[in-house]
Amino acid sequence: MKGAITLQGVSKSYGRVRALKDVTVSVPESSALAVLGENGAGKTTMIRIILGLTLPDTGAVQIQGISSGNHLARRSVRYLPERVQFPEWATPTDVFRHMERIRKESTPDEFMERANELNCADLLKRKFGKMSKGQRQRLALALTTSGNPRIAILDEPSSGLDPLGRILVRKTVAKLVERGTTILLCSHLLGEVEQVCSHAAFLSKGCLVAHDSLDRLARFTGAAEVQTDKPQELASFLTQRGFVCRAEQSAVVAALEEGASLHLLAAATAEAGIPFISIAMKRETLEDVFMRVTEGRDSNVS
Amino acid sequence: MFLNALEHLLRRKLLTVSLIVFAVFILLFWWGVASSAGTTESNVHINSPSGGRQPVVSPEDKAWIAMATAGPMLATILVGLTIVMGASVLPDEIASGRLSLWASLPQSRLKLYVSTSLAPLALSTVLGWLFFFSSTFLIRAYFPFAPASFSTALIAMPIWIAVTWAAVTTLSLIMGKIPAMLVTFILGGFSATMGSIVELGKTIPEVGESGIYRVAGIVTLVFPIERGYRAILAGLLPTRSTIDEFLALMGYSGNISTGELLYPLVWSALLFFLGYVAFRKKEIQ
Repeated sequence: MKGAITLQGVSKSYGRVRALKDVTVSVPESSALAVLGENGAGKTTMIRIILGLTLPDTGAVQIQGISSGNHLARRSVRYLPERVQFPEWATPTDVFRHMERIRKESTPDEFMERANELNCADLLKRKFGKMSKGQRQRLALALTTSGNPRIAILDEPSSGLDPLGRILVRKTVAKLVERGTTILLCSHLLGEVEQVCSHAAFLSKGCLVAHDSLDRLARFTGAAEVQTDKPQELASFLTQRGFVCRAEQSAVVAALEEGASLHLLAAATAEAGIPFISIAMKRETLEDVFMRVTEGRDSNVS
Repeated sequence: MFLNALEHLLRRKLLTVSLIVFAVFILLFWWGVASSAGTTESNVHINSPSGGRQPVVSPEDKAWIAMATAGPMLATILVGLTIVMGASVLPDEIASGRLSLWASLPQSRLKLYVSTSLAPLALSTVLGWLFFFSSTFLIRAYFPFAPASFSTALIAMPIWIAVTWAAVTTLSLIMGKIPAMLVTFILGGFSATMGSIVELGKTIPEVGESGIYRVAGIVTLVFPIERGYRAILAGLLPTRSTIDEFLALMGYSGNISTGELLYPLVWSALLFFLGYVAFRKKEIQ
């Protein structure tokens, strides 16, 4: 097994309900993998099994080559749970001190730096019981990611955050990715995932239905898009030249065979003499991929 | 994690309520002991088993009565507190989701289990010393007497509490906190009653030969909650008094052997280990 985190044939049942069915997935070193799926798909169970919080019925999990049953495997792992619960009486500084007694990986200055990035450094001495959900969430991320973690497992890090908070979280995750941290991210915000993740794994009813890099997962849609300020005029011209196309608010979408005829579209657009901003093959968004793979229309993506 | 769990317990209202109850109790007790110290019954005598007539209320006797009165009350507060704290510390941490944060850190399940669940034992032991020793010193201020053995009481305290603590901690992981509290409370009460029968059997041959004595002996082996308690009282009670000869059957006197103290200690350690076996495979939410 290779990769920072690897799951090999992992299954888990709760009574008659099978939460995970024979899941095999690998998170490449220094990559950001999004685990996506509908509610109850098995995402959180998968994370708990990786962290040793839940034991699998069958299969094996390794973190950097060490079995997840061994607590030493978690030396380099940071975990942000979906439901963050801290003692109401404790301050973030108290919790940081308690955590660092065990993990011994980051300094108070690094924690302060991360809290500053997440715009919550002024809350370090305030008790958790006197904070809003969003404030607690930002501090939880600061506690989880202070210093330079090698692996970060983030379960819905933007949960309960306002738009600014979401932007800050996204920037923090992007910064971690830049520094080489391996990220495993669970999120329902597909736009956020597209911006920070390089890979995705899709779970549906406990089964892994797709797992690959985002580039490979997103298929060519059979069209190209020309960004322009005069979409109506350009669409008329291209139609006269034999293209099947439609005008949108600030673009023209033209039906195209993959790759081969993009240069013809570019030539025709240049010939029209209408200013344009860009020409690009139109690929599926992550939302399109999600709908495709989780509705069972395609189970052979991986 | 131990300090974290301890701090969490110290901030619970349950502890505040227990300390208030204890404060009220000790004030009333003080009042009672002080009032008793002012009375004179020098003309009241009693026939002692060894023959002759002795004054019924020597300072040691009064101290004995006061301690024997305070003991059950203090024991009830302390056992209740231990049961509630011990039963809730791990289930509450798991149910609230707090434990997942700590369990995801690079520490073993054993360390997590021991450090979290030792906190109630440590707190109950300290409170036990406070409750029993402060009561003893209060009594000694009014009725000067020499306790039989302070060191025995000191050592017996954690052993006595450990039995309740180990039982309730383990049961809470197997059956949940409320059933664990109820079962431990009922078992504790039953075993304490059976312990008195064992003491009776030592003094009265007819009881010692009866079937109930054998049943009582088995019950106190299965759930040895009362040996430690008797050792504490035996350590704190006056070395010599007249009344203990008459009330020995209640089990407030007599020597508790080292073996009788070691057995609940080993029993607690084994049960605590069983709790770890349950915790090792427990799903942490």
